[in-house]
Amino acid sequence: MADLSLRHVNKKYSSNTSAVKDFSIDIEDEEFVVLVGPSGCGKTTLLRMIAGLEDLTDGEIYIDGRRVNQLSAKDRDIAMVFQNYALYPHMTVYDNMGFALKLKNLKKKDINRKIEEAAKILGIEHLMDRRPAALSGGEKQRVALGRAIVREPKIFLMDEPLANLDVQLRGQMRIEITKLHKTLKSTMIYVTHDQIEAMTMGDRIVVMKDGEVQQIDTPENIYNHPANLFVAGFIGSPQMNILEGTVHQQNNIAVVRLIDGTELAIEADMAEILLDKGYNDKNIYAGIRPEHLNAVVKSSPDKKMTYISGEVEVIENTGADVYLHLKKCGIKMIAKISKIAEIELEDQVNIAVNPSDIHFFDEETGEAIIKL
Amino acid sequence: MSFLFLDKYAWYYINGAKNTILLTCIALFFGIILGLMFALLRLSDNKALKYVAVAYIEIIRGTPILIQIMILYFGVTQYISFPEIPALSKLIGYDSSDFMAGAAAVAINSGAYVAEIIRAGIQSISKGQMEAARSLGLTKSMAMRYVIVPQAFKNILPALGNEFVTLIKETSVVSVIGIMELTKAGDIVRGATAKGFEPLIVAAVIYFSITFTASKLVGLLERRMRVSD
Repeated sequence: MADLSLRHVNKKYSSNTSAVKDFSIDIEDEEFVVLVGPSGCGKTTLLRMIAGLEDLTDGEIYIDGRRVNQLSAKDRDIAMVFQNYALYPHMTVYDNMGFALKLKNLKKKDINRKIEEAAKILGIEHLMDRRPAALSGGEKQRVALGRAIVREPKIFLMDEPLANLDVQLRGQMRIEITKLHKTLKSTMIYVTHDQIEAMTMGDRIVVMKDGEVQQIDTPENIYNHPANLFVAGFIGSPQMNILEGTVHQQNNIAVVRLIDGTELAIEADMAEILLDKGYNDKNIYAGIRPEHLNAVVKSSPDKKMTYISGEVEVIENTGADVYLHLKKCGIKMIAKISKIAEIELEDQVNIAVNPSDIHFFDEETGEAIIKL
Repeated sequence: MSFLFLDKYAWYYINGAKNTILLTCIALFFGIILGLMFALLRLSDNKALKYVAVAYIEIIRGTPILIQIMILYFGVTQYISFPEIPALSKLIGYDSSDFMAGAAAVAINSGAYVAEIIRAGIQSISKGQMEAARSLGLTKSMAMRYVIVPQAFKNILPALGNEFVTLIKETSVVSVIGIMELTKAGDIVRGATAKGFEPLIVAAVIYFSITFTASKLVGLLERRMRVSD
């Protein structure tokens, strides 16, 4: 397999719009990296540049230390799996998988062996004589993966391969691809706009927006330490509650006063950082994930917690979880709780939050104010 | 209205019909080769090649086939003569060099229309097919040859079938340079029998029989192709 380096990669179109801006990353051999971001953020363009299907405006791409900018797609030793599968409709599954090998003049028995191995891994041995038109979405996706596997490429590129599948099948295929990565021990770069896929599949996640990298980190770090407001809002479902407030110092402790007057306690070491960085009496954003908001109806206050109250606007019961949509003086929040308790619509509820679960972001830059 | 003349002149019609079918097949065969070549040139990234293809296609489609035949027969053949092919001469019953000139003119005309049919067919194939092929290790030309063109041909079969049927009728214009095909046969019989109407009716009925049969065969082939999907 192979490692991959992208150095200051840029892509500008003739209309002077930038699809990718100064993108750099080093991907190690056997790593599974997920590019995630909203539609039009440049992730597919980036994948196509790695594949050699799109020219770079600027920058360099290295595969195994070899600069590949000028190499055509066929010489880069990569294999790409597309969102719409792009199977050859005039060929059987067997021919789809073996076609590139046949053109390489491999021996028939070697081709058969490779196809059989890949088909066994993917569980598609029984489909060999069928044409793509006779396959279901999941089967087509497996064949597309098989077609890539038989080539034994240095790098696998996957462009939203599960986007066209139904929810249940998508969940299944997510596990299949993760297992496939473990089996093949290959370098994989996977594009998606589904943050569940990103969080569950990637060794590292690259969050992109408007062609720029917002954060590159492990799923855990991206979730627990988002680099900015965009990452905080994009990763996590439902998304993080963002509350606007002002930092105030009161008798050696600091609080964030929200626009409705509610005061949220700030953890001591975080308060120190905020004050050291000159945030006293300045506006900042406080971010709290829905699962860190606990609905408390009638219980005595816990000294370790800080509280926000709000009126229940909507209750969404998904079975496993309950989402409470709350509002207070124009502030809207979502709390994710495990059971419904005795909460009803239009109830005033107290929401407890641990100060250590609050993220803080600079109002002007949107960057996270991080504990050192 | 009497058709008794057929006893004596039926052979003219049989020979004319045979030559019409032969002319159509030769013209379509070379028309497809020319069409594929110029379609690929028109889709090429090389501007010079693209302009050559556009010029050929637009000039041929923008001028009448009758004028093209006359230019080729009375103009070009003064400098380039078509060789005599004994086997073909034997088959058609007269000197094959004129026949080849007529076939060439019809093929060149058909090539321009076929080029546009093929170009549209190639462009109807999803861009993803070329990209998938290239990302799986194929060169552009390999992808075109093994992936794009086979799919395109399946898509354009109805249009090529129509071109074949149209060509059967269009070959009638080569009668102006004296080639013995179905229209010319009707003309000869008209002159020999002094009947102005009936010999042409016979020719029309034979044309209809050929084109109707050809249409049905094309339809059958289309259905076969659909089933194979």
